Amino acid sequence: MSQTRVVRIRESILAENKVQAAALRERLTASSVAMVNIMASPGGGKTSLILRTIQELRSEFRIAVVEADIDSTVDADKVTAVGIEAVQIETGGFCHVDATMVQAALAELRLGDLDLILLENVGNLICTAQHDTGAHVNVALLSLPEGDDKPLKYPIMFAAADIVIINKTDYAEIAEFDIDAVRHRIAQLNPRSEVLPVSCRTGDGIAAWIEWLRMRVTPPHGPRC
Amino acid sequence: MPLVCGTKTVPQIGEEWNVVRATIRRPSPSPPVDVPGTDGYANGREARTEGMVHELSITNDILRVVVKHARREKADRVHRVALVVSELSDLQPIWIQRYFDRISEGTVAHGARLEIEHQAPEFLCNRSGCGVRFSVSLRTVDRVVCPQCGGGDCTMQEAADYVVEEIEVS
Repeated sequence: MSQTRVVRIRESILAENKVQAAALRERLTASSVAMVNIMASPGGGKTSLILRTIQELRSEFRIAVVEADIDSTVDADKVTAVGIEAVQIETGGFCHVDATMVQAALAELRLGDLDLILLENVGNLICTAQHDTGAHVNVALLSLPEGDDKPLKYPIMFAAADIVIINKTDYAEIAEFDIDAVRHRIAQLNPRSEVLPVSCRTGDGIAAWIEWLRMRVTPPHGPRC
Repeated sequence: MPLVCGTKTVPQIGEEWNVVRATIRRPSPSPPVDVPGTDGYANGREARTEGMVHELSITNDILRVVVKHARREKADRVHRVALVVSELSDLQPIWIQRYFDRISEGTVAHGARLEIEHQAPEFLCNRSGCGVRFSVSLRTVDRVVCPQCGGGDCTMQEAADYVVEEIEVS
């Protein structure tokens, strides 16, 4: 029997995806397309935020949506119902999308005809945050009924986000959600992240989100520079 | 077809996991004017079984890296895998080990013991002229401040990573 030996490896298991994601981001930038990755729990309001964003920005930007779902087209159908092109990634049980999957979806779109791609990630707060999709902007969406302890329970999500949108402010009276506590926790994890309360249903706070997004999509701030 | 939860189909090593079916959906010819409905307001609680899926996808990546290096070393068996994982990772080591035992069947890594060490995240101080990198455990501090200049504008460099540090083979 041969002797055991220790082999030093020091290899990140996420490295391969990071390389692919960086290449994808570069390709999008070269085509002057901004991609926004929207992550949340199931029912947090990802599709509602996407529909709101389309409503506000469709006159300014040419938008397409990439929808990731384990095995349904419900969300993609809502997007196409308002006249926007959607590519559906059926992840077949996979709980997040990675750069390879997004690349496959983008092959279905003509990047030259687009300014903005909204990527609706699979609904979960765990591994979606750990896999770079190639997006320029990462949005973490948290809704009041989920509770204000989410940044404590899922720190990686809130550390990876460029902006945290707190949705369903119209539930404030019944949700017992401490927005200041959430701001404080996010500031510890990720001081650069914006925290923006909105209600996709009433439209409260949506203007601030649109303004924030516009700055990141429009040149010279956006991917064209 | 990759597995959905711990009891279903188990992927084979080398099998392509990222099964992607991208389907394009064109808008209907005359789009109705629509505003977000109440659909996004469904109950946001996650399914209980979902927690297992996340460990599984990470475990598959760990196995891929381990087998690649074991092959390179022409090893017959992997006895131990040392991993360094961010302390922010919410994945459960017990599930990572169980999934590893299962999906490594038939590979040189089957039976290997996983040693998981948690590491404090690294931050970069954004104050111009400082730019110090430092590690601090978020379990021990209430607020992240730069140990060099005392500045509070610090960015986490890597929220979550899983690094295969070393393997013990024979």
